[in-house]
Amino acid sequence: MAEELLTISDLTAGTEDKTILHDVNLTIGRGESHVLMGPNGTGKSTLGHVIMGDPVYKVASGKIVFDGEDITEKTADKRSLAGIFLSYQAPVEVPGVPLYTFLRTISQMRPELKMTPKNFRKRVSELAAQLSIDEEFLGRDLNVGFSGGEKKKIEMLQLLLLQPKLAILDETDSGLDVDALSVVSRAISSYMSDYNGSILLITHNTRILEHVDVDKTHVMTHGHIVETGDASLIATIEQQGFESYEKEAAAELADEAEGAPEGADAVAEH
Amino acid sequence: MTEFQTLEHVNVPPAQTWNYLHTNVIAMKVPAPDQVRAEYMEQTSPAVTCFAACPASIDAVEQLPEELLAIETGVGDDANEWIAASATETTLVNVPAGTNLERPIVVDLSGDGVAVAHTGVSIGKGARATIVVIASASHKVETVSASLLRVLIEEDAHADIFELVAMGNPKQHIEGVGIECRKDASVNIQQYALSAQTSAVGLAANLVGDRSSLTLSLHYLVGSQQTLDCNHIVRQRGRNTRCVIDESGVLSDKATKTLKATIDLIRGCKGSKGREQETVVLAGDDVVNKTLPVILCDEEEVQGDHGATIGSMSAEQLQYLRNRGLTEEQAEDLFRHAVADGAVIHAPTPKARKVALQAVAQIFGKDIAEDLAEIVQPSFGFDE
Repeated sequence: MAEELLTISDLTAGTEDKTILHDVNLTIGRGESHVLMGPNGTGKSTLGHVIMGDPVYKVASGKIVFDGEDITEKTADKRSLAGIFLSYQAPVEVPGVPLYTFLRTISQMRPELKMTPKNFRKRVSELAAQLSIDEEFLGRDLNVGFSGGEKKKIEMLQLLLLQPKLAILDETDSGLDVDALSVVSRAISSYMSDYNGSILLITHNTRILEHVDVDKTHVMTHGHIVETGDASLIATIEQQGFESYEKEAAAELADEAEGAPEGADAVAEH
Repeated sequence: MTEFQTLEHVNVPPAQTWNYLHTNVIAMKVPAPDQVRAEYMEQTSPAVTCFAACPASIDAVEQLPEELLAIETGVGDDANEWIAASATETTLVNVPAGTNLERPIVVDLSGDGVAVAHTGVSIGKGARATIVVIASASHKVETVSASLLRVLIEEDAHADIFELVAMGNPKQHIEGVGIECRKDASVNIQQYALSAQTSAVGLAANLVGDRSSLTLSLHYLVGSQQTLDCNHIVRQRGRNTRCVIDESGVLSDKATKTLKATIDLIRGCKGSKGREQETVVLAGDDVVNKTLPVILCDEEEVQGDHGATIGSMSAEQLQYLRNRGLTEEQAEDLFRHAVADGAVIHAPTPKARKVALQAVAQIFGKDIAEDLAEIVQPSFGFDE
C-alpha cells in the first residue's frame, strides 16, 4: 500500500433533509487510481462533492483526512489549495471571465506554480496542444458555448496545469466521442505518470477504464460502499451488473431500519 | 467662459418605467456646439482621427446621407442632434460590395481636449468589415467626448464592431450607435466600458431583413463614483431574425449603473428569437444597480427570453471557483480583472490594445498590465 493520501472514516453525510452517504470508509494512497462504480443516484457524485467541501452537503459524522490533515471542516478553496481537484460532470459556465484570465488566476493562487508570464503562456499553449484545444478557446469565456467534450478537455487542462495531489473525476467520460475520450484518457494517464497523481474516478460505465491502470475498484449502492476489490472487479461488474449488490444492500437496509429505534435514522428513507 | 447646455433625454428606452426610479433617461451637461467646434480648433493635435484602408473609401462630409441619418440610435434625438451639430469630424465610409476589409475602420477619440465624432459606415452586399471605436483621454482633464456611429449593413454582409471607452475619471463620454441589418446580414458587437466619470452608451439595432442577426456583449467596470448609463434596443422586424445580448460587469465603491435592454419583436417577424442575459457582480455596499429589461412582443410565433444574475455569482459559479481555490472575495476580483483582460484579449488593433492595457495599468497597476501584455499576444497581425 502506498503512503496514505486520503482517508475517509465512517463518513455519513447528505443534504439538510436527507442522508445520502452512510458510514463510508475509503483510503487512497499516493499515486493510486481508484474507481468508484455504481448505478445512477447511489451517492457517487455526492461523495466527490463532500470530499471537495461543497457546502450543499453536511457531514453528520465521520472524518476526512487529506495529506495528514483533518479537512472535514475546511472550506472548498482551502481543500483545493491543499491539492484536491474535482473535475465536474457538467462544468459550470462563467460568462464574462476569459479562460486565460481564469487559468492565470488559479495558477497564481498556488506559490508552487509561480512562473513568469512568458512561461505561463508557453505552458498553457503546450497543454492546449496536448489536449487538442484550439488556442482561440483561451480568449473565450470560461465554458460558455463550449460543447460537452470541449468542457471536459478544459477540465483536463486545469488538472494538468494545477497538478493536484488528488483528482476526483466525476463521470469525466460521459458525453465524449471516441476521439475526445482518447484525449481525456491520455490526459489522465499523463497526470498520474508525470505528477504521481492519485485519482478517484467516478463512473457507471467501463469505457474509460480501458485506458486507465486501476489499483482498486469500489462499488457503491444506496450510499454504502458495498464491495472493494482490484481491477478484476470491473470485469465482474461488466458481466453481472449491479443488481446483486443492490439486492444485498436493500436487504441490509431493511434489516437496519427494522432494528432502528423509531425515527432514529434517515437511512430508512432509502 | 464655457457655455454649457443640458441634454435632458439621453438613452431613452422604448418602454419606460416610473420616473421616480430615475431609470428612464440620463441628463448630460455638455458644451454648446459652437463652443465644442471653437475649442477643437484651438487644440494643437487632432483629438479625433478616422481611418479606413483600401478598398474602402473615406470622405469628410458636412452631413451623412439620409439613408444613414434615418437609422435609429440608442442615445436618442437630444444626443443625436447635439453630436451632429458639434461634430469636429463627420466621416462617411463606404465598403464596396463583395469585399473583405482586411484592416478595421477606426474612429479614434483621444487626447486631452473635446472630441466629437459622427461617423457613417455603409457596408455593401456580401462585404465584411470591422469597425473600432476607441475613446481614451488623459486622466487629468475635465472635458467631454462623444461618438455617434451609424452603420448600414447590406444584404448578406457582416460587421464586427469593437467599442472601448477608457476615459479616466474626470471625463464624460457619450457613445451612440445605430445599426440597420438587411436580409441575411449579421453584426457582432463587443462593448467595453472601463472607465469614465459619466458614460452614456446607447445602441439601437434594426434587424429589418429576414434572417438578419445580432450578437452583442457589453462588459463594464464601474468604480469610485462613476456612472454608467446603458441603453440597448434591438428591433426585430424581419422573419427568422436572431438576437443574443450578454451584458456583464462589476460595480464597486460608490458606482452607479443603469441598464435598459429592450428586445422589440415587431409584428411580422415570425420565427424570430431574442435573448438577453445580464450578470452583475456588486462588489461594494454603496453601489447602485438599476436594470430595466423589456421584451416587447407583437407577433405570436416568436421567442423572447431574459435572464439575470444580479448581486453576485450564482451559487454554482461560486462553488466552481471555490473548488479551484478562490474565496468569494477573490472570485469577485477575478470578475473585475476579467472585464479588463477581455478588452486586451479581443482588441482588434494595436491602438485598442494599448488603450486597454493603459486602462488595466490605471485600475490594477503597472505590473499587472505588463504581465497581461506578455501573456496575451495580439490577435491582429498588423501594425498601425
